[in-house]
Amino acid sequence: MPPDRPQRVTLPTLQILAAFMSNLSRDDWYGRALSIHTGLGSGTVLQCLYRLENWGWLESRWEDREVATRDGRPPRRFYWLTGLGQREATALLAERFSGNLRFAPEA
Amino acid sequence: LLTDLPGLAAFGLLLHGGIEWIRSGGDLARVQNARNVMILGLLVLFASFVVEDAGLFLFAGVGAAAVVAFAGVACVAGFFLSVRETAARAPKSSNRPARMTVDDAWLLGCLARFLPAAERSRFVAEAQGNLGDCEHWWQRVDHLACLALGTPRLAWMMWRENRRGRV
Repeated sequence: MPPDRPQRVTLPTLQILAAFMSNLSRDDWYGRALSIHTGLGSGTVLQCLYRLENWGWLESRWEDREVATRDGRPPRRFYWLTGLGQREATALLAERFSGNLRFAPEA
Repeated sequence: LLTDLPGLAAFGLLLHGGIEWIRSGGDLARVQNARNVMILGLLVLFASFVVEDAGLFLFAGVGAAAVVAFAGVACVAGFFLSVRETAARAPKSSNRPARMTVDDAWLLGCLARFLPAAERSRFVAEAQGNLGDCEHWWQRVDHLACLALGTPRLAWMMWRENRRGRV
C-alpha cells in the first residue's frame, strides 16, 4: 500500500512521469535535467518530485560526493521510478492520453 | 510620505542589489558592490521604520511605539539568525566551483524559511545541486526565480504532509 494515494494528478506531474517513462533504465534523473527535458520551471519540478516521492512512485538518493567533486559541482539528488510508480504511471498515462502517447528511448 | 518614499527607495535598492549579486557570478568586487547597495537599502528601510516609530511615539504614546519597535527588531533578528543557521547546515562550499559560494546558500536559505525545519537542508542542497548546471547568469536568475515562485506551494504541501503525519 503506498503511503499516500493521489487525489488528482496535474499535467506537470504527468509530464514528469512521461520523462521517467521515456527511459526506464535511467536512474540519474535530477531536478535540472527534468526541468530542461519537460520545459517546466525548477519550482514546479521540485513540487512534482516531492509529491511523487510521497506517493511512493519515486525513490531518490544523493549523488556520490567524489563524482560531484571531480566534476567541480555540488552533488545532485537522483530520482528513479519504483515498481509501483511504473505500474501507476503506465496506467495513468494510458488513461489520460489514450492512444496518443508513445514511449521512445532517448537518442 | 516620510515612510512611503523611503520604503519604495529601500525596495528598489534591495532589488537592484539582489539582481547584481546574482549576476556577479562569484566576482568578489561585484558581490561587495551589490552587498553595499543592499546594506544601504536596509539602512533606508531601518530609517523609515524609525521615523514611523517616532510618529507613533508622538501621536499614540510610548507604549505603542515600544511594542512596534520590539516587534520590528525581533522579526529582523529572528529572520537573520534563522537564515544564518540554515546556511550553516548546508553542505560546505569546499567542493564547489568558485561561483557556487555561500551566497547561493544564503539566497536559498531565505526561500527555505518557508519550509518545515526538517526539510530545509535537503531543499537547499538539492537546489544547489541543480544550480550547479547553470552556466550563465541568466540561467541562474531563471532557476532561482522559478524556485522562488514554486517554493510557497511546495511549503504548503510540506506543512500539510507534516500535519497529516502528526495526526
